[in-house]
Amino acid sequence: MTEFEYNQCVTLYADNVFRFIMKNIGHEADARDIVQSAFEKMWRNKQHVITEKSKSYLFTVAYHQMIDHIRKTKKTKIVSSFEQDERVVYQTNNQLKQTLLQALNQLNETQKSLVLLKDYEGYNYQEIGEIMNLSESQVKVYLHRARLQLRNYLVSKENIG
Amino acid sequence: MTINRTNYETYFLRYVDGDLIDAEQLMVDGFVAENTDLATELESLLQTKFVPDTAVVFANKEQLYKKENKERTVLFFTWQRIAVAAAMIGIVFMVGIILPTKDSVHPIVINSTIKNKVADLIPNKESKHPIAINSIEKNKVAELMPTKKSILSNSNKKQPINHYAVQLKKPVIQKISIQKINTPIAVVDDATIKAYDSRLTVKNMELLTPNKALNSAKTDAITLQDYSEKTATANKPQESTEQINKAIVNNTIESSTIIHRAVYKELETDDNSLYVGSIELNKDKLRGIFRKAASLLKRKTDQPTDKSFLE
Repeated sequence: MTEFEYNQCVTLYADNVFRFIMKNIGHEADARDIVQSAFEKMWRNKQHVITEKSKSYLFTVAYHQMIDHIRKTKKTKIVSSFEQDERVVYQTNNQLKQTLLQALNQLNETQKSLVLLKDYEGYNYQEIGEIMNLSESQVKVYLHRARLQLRNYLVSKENIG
Repeated sequence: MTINRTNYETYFLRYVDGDLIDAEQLMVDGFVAENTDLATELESLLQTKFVPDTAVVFANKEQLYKKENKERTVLFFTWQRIAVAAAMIGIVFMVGIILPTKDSVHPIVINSTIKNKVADLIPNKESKHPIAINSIEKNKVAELMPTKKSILSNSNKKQPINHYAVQLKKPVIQKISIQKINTPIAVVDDATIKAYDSRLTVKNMELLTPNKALNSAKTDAITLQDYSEKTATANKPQESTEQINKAIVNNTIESSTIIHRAVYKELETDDNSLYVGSIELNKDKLRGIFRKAASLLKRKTDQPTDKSFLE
């Protein structure tokens, strides 16, 4: 990967990676740090990164850094998730979207990442498996479980509402 | 494998994920059309699909852009290269020292007082010390150029040359005119001077006795040389005119051996100078440098070859 190709990756994928991390951890500053670290790592290893695989590489690095970050800050997770919920409510007016984001936060990190990678980035099961270091069948099973969980949450909310 | 009421959920989830091929998608659509009670279930699963929030962007992407720093190649010099470079620097430095600079130019100016006093010391008719320049001295003392008028009068009347137009070899030194009272200076070109010089030498040698001719030639030649030297030093602002006059008188009175030495030195220094274009170099210093360089090279060639290190 050349310098030009790296900078192209920044232009094309920085927002996507940031969005993915942001929706997962719900903390902008931390999400920025993770994205920066991911790009730093890609820059350092640019000689080994294949340009066609640069997006997957970037998401893989960002995902694993995010997991590390979540593990480090697990103790404060409850508070931060509550704060994020408030912010999400403020930012989105659509009731369904709000409920959906709330449902997303009910998922574990793996399920959340699976759903976001599938819906935001449109990766197939195999690509998601490469990013998250899972098998294709595992991705399929975990993702379907996550969908059902989200649906159940939405249905239950609708029932309550 | 076809869709039915037992496996429809898997098909629905794959439908939401977009994992079905076109034929499978059409199959699911047909199934839902046939089973309307399951249509809401498919609808609820489709609602779990997230749409990218384009409002969330990474601000200040400039922080992420990188510019590659081109690595500078480090050249490792071998000791031979370093030695050659040092030698070249040394030569340039030495040449810089040897070469005369413009600051060393000291134009000679004789004020009227000195000029008159010096003129008194120049041999005249009474002193009977005509200038007789032999062939060797003539070549070496080319600076001593008698005027046309004096040469002519000398050759005709057996009188000593009273008037001199002295020009030193060094380009930095200007003409020194020593004028005797009542006689004007006439400056002539080199060719004319050489012609008159030869005539003068022959005639003077004929007219004077051998001893006299020799002594007078020595004395006059050296006196002129001393005049030029002393008048050159007279230009220095620190020295007074009295000191210069004393020096001139002393030089004239002193024995001819001392004077001879002075002439020899002057000629010697002239011989040591080497002109490269308009640049004057000192032969002795250059010779020393070349000698050192030659000895170094010889020493190097005497060293054992690299093969000995491989064995």
